[in-house]
Order: sequence, then C-alpha cells, then structure tokens
Amino acid sequence: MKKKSIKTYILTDCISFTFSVIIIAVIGLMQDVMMSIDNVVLLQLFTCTTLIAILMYFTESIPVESQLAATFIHFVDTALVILGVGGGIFKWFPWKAVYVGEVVAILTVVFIMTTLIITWQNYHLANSINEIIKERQHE
Amino acid sequence: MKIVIEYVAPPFETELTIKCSNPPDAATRQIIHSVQNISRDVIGSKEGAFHKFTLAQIFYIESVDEKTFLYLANDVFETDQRLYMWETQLEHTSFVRISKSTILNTDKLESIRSMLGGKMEATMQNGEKLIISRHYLSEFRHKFGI
Repeated sequence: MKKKSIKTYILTDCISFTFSVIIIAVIGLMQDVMMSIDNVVLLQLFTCTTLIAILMYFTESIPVESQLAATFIHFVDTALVILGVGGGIFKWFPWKAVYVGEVVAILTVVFIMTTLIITWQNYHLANSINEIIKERQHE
Repeated sequence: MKIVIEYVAPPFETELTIKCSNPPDAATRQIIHSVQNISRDVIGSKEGAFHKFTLAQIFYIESVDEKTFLYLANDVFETDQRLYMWETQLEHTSFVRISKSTILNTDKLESIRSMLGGKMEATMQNGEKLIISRHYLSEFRHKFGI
C-alpha cells in the first residue's frame, strides 16, 4: 500500500467530519433527541471520523473483487466506530432500538454523501486525465 | 532547454543526440534516464522461445500466480523479473503501478473512467480494460502532473 493514498483518507476524514457536524446540527434543531454540539462532542466526533478513516485504510487490503462488497465493508467500518466508540464509549446515545436506528440512518446519509463526493471528484479527475491523454495523442 | 526535431523520410531508425553540460542537471538526467528506459530492449519468453522487443511496446506488466507477464498489443510474454523489480526500474518512465498486480504504460492509455467507490477503469489502446486501485490513484495522477 502506497503512503500517498493516506491523503485520500485524510480527505475522507475531513468530508465525513464536516457532513457529520452539519447533519447533527440540522437534526438537533428539528428534534430534541440528539446530543448538543459542544467542544467535547466536536473532538469526539473528529476522533470517530478519524478512527473510521484508519479502519478503512486497513480494511482496504481485504481482497474483495466486488465493488458493492467493498462499499459495504466501508459501511461496516463506519457503523462499528459510531455504534461502538460513539455510543459505547462516548455515550452519545443510549443503546435502544430507536436511537441506534436514528444513528444508523445518519451514518448512512454521511456515508452516501462522502462516497458521492469522492466519486464526483474522481469523475472530474478522469476528465482532466482524458484531456491530457488526447493532447498527447495529437502531439 | 533547446529542442531540435528533424523529421526524416522512412525507413530510418530514430536517432537521439543529447548535448548537455557534464555532469547534466537534474532535468536532463531524468530525460536521459527516461529515453534509455524507453528504448531499452526487453527479453520475454513464450512457448520456450525468447523474443526481443522494446520497453515502449509494452502495454502493461502483470503478476499472476507468482509469474510476471509482459502484455504487448496482441501478444503476451513471460519475464523472469518480479513485478517489484520492474516497478523500481521503471520509476522515471511512463509506467506506473495501478494495483497490487499490475504496472501500466500511460503512453498506451486510450482513456480512463471513474467507478463507484474511488476506483478507475483504464482502457488501453488495444481495447483491454484494467482497474486502477484506489491505493495507487495518487501515484497514477502524478504521472499526468495532476
């Protein structure tokens, strides 16, 4: 595994953290079941998004051919950290079905948004590289 | 840097003369290294017979079941060198590692397209398709100065 790919995980970490804060803030305004966002929670949130990125770094080496399976492994990485560390250690929510369900719904949205943004970035990267290839072919 | 290109009617074996200071600067050293690598002869074996071709003819290099294969436009040859040895030797050329088992020649690339989840699919000039792993994407884009 190349060290350069760490940049991708740092980017994933930053995007996940940003969307987590936005979504929790929005849901917090809409209903009173989520924790409020203070300094400690922000740091806890950053710890979790970083742990997810680290976990993904290692689970990337699992030899799966299917893209769907690889995506699902990332989803499991995220769920393990949020439910285990967030719910279990940081006590963000009680371990009841309604709260666990709510958390799973949030991390599903965060996961989908992160995946879409990275895919969108790669789409533009592919276009840029294709333009360079065309230029080289015309030289 | 002054570049002079003189086109000559075929048949003519391409000849390259580099005039530079001694010792050459870093940029010139890289050019010399790249040219030496691209024009380098490569030996590959097929059905017990050895064949000679240039590095520039190779589309990609793949490792399968502890064996390493050189893929040309319409032919495949086996090589004694392991993939990591090729990777080291081809560091300053158009070749780049795109997965655990594959090194691709970017000069033989037709196009690429993004896939869900961060991977990319490379289409070679002979129509073959290869997967660029997320782990090696950063190195791949650097080959294009991005």
